[in-house]
Amino acid sequence: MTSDRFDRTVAEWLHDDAEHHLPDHLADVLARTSRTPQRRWWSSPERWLPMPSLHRFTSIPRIAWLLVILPLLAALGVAALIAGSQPRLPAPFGLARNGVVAYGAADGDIYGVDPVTASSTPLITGAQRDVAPFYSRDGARFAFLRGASDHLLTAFVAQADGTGVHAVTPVLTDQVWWDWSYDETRLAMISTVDGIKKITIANTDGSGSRILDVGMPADFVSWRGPDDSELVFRGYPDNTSHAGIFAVRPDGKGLRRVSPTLGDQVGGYQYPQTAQDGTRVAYTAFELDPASGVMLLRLHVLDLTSGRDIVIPGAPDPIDPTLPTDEGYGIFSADGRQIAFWRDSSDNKIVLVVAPSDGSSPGHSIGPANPKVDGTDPNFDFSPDASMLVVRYPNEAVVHFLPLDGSPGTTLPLDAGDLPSWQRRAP
Amino acid sequence: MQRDLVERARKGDHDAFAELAGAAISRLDSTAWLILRDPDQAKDAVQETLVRAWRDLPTLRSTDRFDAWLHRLLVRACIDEARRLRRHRVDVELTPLDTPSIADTTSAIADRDQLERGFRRLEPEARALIVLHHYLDLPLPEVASVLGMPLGTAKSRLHRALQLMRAALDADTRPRPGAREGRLA
Repeated sequence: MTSDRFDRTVAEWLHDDAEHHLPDHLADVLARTSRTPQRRWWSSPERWLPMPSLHRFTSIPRIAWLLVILPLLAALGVAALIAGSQPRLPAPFGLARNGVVAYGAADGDIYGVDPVTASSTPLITGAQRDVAPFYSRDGARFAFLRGASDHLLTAFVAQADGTGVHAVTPVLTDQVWWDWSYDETRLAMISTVDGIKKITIANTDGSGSRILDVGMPADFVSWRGPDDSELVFRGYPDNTSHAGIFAVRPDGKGLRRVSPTLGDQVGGYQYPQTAQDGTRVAYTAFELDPASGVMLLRLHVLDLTSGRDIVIPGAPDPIDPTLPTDEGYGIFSADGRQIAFWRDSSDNKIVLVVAPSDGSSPGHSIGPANPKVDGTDPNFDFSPDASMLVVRYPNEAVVHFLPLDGSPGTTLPLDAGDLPSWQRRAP
Repeated sequence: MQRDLVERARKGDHDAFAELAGAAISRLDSTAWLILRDPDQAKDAVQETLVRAWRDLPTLRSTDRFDAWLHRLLVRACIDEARRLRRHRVDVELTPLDTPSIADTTSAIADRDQLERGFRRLEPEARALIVLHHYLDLPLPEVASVLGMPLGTAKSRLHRALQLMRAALDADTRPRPGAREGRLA
């Protein structure tokens, strides 16, 4: 029997054998689901990985960089002297010192934890349910969401010590993404309005918010720094499922597509992440790998100015080195030199990898390979000083801090529904 | 239509989820039966799948991928059930299978028996690969996505699974006096 004929025989047997009907049990299962609460919607990493505060030093001439940063640091220094006891703040971009990590606990309160000493401080407490803290770029404040329903939440802003709490939006439906502007005066966020994902811009002093209509569904919005001149987002023109990356000015004018093409339905421009200087976007695409001849998830870095698109090189499968691996969901480090992402293997495990963001090498793995859990990826980000990754693997009630140099990391038992937000402090 | 139902279910509309479940349960039942070969285990796997689907729907990234996601949950539930079954069968000692008939290998019934025996000898993951591709007619990239493995891995494992099945059939056509099977999976 030839291979094709055998395949057909197997297919025919399966179709005949599938007639073995089970007794009707739909009512049973619906009785069970009606008693089962749904998971918190922000526990999915794609929905909830906070936009990191990023900037790339390498693309800027050192002198120019110095011309920018030195006056800024000087100004900050003078301001600190004038303010007396006022704490020094980091620049809104680049490497910073690691501060505390804030997380929304299962009890509905928000806590700040020192990742070195593990000492915990309540930041936002009370009867209301508060979740998803997200530090501003200078670490002086954090935004968070408040509401009893997973789908109807109001955005608030507080000082880093939890004081000065004030609302910055009305109730939002399915708020799934946000990003602080570089001047800290605005939050750009994605929520659902009339059934369509749209951008909302909220003033962080609580003076108002508005919907930015870009004429298409939008998600993954971020500010293009360091002058907040544009917002970068993933858009779906003509309401199709073919996504592209677009930029628009905060006043809604100057809409333009910055990706060279629109992606296909299954995998174009997944998880776009903007580097802090606004010149590059990391994204993941499902595409034909010319080396292996199979469809793979590949991590790209697109230069928004030149249009140059590089692919982070893959690595052989650790189980069967003749096979390629899928990889994706890149996050830039604070200095823009490195990119962290996941890479899978044929034993159904996933490992985190850190590689140079210029595509010069496949990088090296960080931490252990972990089994995939129902297709849910680990949630991760760089520390502000880019010395380690903070990682939350699916279905774990702990958060891992994994040094990039391979030294032993630490694990804290944080009952967080999502990845904690790491405060940036002045170096 | 399905997208609208998924969106509504994602936001907690249980009636919408009931419609989705009603439309999918026959396909899920057949798939689970084919993978597990045990009606009780198949029913448990489908129940677990739909409960998890309801529970985790708010975290589904793309409503367009609902079917693929449901298949993934089902395969995972089937593999979990199969492992439980395997442990149980180890505990109760060995179970003999029917000695394969040599005389009637040309008949359709014997062919089907042989196919079933060959299929049962595969690991649940390999059975799932074959069922997704040859019963649900999912293209291999979709199969790879459902099983959470690279396409190259899915291809090679499917090839290997069918080879093993053929080898088992070939072995069945050779006399094996007093042959006994130990575990079914």
